[in-house]
Amino acid sequence: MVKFAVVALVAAACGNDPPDYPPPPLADLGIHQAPTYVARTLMTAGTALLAHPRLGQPAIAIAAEPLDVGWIAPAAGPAADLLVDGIVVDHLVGDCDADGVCHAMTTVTGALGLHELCIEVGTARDCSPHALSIVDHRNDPATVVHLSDAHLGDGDSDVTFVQVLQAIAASPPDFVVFTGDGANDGLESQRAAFVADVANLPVPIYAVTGNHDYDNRGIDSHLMMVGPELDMMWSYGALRFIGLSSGQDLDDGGHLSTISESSGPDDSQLTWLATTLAQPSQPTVFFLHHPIYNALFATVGPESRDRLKALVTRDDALAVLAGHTHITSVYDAEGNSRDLSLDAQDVDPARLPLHYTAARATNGSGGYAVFHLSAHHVDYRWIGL
Amino acid sequence: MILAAPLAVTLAFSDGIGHARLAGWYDDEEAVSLRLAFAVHPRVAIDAGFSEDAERVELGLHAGVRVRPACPAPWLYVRGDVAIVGASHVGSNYDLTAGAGAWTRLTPWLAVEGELDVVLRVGEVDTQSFRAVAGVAIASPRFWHHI
Repeated sequence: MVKFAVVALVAAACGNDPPDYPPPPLADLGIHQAPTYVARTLMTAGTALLAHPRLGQPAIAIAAEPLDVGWIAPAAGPAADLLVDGIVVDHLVGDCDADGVCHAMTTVTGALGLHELCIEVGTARDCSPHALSIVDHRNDPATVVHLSDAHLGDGDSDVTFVQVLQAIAASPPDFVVFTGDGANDGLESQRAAFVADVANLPVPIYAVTGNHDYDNRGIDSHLMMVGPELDMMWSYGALRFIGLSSGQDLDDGGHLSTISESSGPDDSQLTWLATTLAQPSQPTVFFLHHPIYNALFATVGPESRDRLKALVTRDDALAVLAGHTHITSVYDAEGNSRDLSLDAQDVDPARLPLHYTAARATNGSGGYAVFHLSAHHVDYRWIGL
Repeated sequence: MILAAPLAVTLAFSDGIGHARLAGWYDDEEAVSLRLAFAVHPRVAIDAGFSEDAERVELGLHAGVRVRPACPAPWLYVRGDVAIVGASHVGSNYDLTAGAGAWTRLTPWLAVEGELDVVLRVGEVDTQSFRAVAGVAIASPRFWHHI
């Protein structure tokens, strides 16, 4: 009784909205048919959504490479116009399912650099500013910035995050991986600010959700604004990248022992991950919000942690990138942190996959991690502003 | 009343080397510890305290016992300790420590100690380390007084 009273007082003092606990199981959302969930649940006839590529799951393509374009347009036909930087470049006729989720292959040519993609179905249009990066080659090793926990809406975070993005833009990597908590309170305005801020980056950004990205209706708004698929897989040259949503906090105010632990990944996600990893071996980088290894009560859900750990502990795994704790931590495949620097390291391949948790991007003056990744090589360094 | 109890509070610093299957031999990290000891017998003290890695967040909660088999000055002792450590996942790692050291009083209230430990980290993380410990203690006059 006393514990609940204390929790209620703390919640009242902090001005928290009542959470929508228990969090909905992602399997109930049909998360691996997420565009279908979006189409059936969130969209109405006469609207359209660019599904892939888009912010959250952009494409990095060499000019004239085939490109799979996905869009969602409930109760519409299979025809759509694809626009690059506002100009119609292709008239697509897609293969569509009963929910109006369509895919079509196209080739896109254009100047090197980042391009906005729009899909237009009838009078409905949806655009994504970071959808397509046209490159003349893929770098090996790839230079990847790992950025986490912007927490826009919290104190000076909005200012600091812009400064961090400017620093990244001054020395651009091949792309950026963001491991969740773009918003501080799951507010639509914070999510919109995040999308607007990262639109100023000169390179693509791949984003997964953090627990703070959830609002009282779950993650629906994120699905509409950032990308309809919470879990993603793509390749950059020889490397495979897999992003996972690790879900919402388990902390419902009545389970203090699980504070900051997450609700996921759930069974449907882990099944999807196992199926994805069953494909031919490829050097793989995983990224998710909640770390598997850390010294705090801040890991992935207790029911899924062991299974997830087993899935990512494999010979072809290079790294597992995470955030959430706001404290940099580094571990090897077995959870040993010794002889692994918090600031910079060329990692012994025998110790891979490296489990790297990035500090909050908007801590103090801000910062981010830079990785160089190739088939058997991982090095990293922390860049503080 | 507390000051009259056989208590000692030790602030210690430790460092060493370690070994793990994937990492091989490595320089183990510096750590600080704060330990409260209660002498339940002129030869036996019960310890409780915590430690913290000096380089990263890695809190340990410790409980142990020190025994003086004989009492020449400086007094030699052996120590056993078990700790829950936040090494990779809270509740998943334990440090089992066995060590031997020397403890001597400099003033009626001040003592110093030095110790060599073998630390087995068991659980999710599996490492073995060898550590040297140096500490300073505020010890009440009744703590480990002359027999």
